[in-house]
Amino acid sequence: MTLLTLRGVVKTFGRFTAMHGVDLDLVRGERLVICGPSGSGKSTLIRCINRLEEPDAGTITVEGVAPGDLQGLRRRVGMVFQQFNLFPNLSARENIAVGPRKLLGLGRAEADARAETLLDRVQLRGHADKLPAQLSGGQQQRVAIARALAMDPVLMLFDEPTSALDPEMIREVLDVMVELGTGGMSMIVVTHEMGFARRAADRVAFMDQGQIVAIAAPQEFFDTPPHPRLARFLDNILGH
Amino acid sequence: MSFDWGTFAEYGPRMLRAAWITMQVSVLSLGLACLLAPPLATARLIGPRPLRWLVQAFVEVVRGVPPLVVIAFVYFALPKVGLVLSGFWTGVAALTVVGTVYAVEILRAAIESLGRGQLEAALALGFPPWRSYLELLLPQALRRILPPLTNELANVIKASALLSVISVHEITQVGNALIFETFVVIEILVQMTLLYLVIVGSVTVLSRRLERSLAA
Repeated sequence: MTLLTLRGVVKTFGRFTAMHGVDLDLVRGERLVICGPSGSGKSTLIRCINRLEEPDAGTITVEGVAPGDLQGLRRRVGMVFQQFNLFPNLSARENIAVGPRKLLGLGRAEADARAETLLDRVQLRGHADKLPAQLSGGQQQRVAIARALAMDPVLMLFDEPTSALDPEMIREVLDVMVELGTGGMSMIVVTHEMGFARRAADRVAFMDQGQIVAIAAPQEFFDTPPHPRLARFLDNILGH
Repeated sequence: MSFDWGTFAEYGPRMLRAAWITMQVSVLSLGLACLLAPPLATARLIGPRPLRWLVQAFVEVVRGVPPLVVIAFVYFALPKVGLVLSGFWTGVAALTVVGTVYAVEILRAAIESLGRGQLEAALALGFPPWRSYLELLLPQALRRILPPLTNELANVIKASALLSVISVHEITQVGNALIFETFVVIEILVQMTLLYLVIVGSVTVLSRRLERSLAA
């Protein structure tokens, strides 16, 4: 069952074209990893899906969301950023509870309970009262994941979620994401963590110069790269 | 030179009544400015373009002229549009305008300094832009703006002295009148100074307390 459809999506920034007519379908429960060189348009692609960037042409539809209902769309599509972007004046619990409380109309107790459950799920029980500054990068990113999950999204977008982390913290974040995917969450992950792609993706896409050049199941993607540019890219990032 | 402490008892009650007027004008205009500034700063940042320009133009004009000119403008212009206010309320209106535009600028700068990441986080959760600003970014900005804002509030209180030109019976107006009536100059100036120090000083103390409690 199709959850997300992109048709002919174009995005330009001034004279730079970040996306040249991208088509993509995602079925419910699917885990898609997008990789590619920097500037290839992968972040732009997922930022267009929840309309942090407004596409210049093409259509993007998320099942069950009326076109034009921008806030409705964003409530159903969770986003995790490279730099976490937690609210620094709010505790971990409040960061997670603020959306459900103010946007979904939950009472304070109910929203806090939801936050506690999610903190448990991202292995952060006991950290509820800490401010972001008191948490490590990996912990902050897991709070950010919980914050997005608190809105009960149908699709989760990850924009290079481990790129800002020290190596020893990458694992704890990826583990949470793997668990999330195993639990049936539909997700699109922009990342260079090829181990994660192999382990947890249903399909892997390679973007270059604003287009999806190749898209395949992990085994085919890595073992018999379907495009010469992808082969070169994999060589560069895996070959050292 | 002799300093006549007796003048404190003699003119003190009139000066205290004047100080009460100064405090009322200050509290009213600062309170109104604090209510008006957040929505205006939000409009200035994310309103529809014409509204953004309008707010910005207003802020630039008011900041670009001396408060005395703003006071004169409000005093002479409001009756022309049929709004006849007492000197007191004219003064409140004028100081509100002055206080608001400075607060808008301080708020705008503070919110912009928070960076785009948090705004995007709020938007991605599904907060409309204006609620992102008012409910998530502004509370953080408030902590940062308290010191500069206190400065501006103190300036507005001091600018209330200018209301003497439109015959509001505040400290400066009453002090001046007493000086001309009695030729007691230094003693009355000292009384005026003390009263201003107490009023401005208490705002500073309150703001430091608030700062500490926000930081905690």
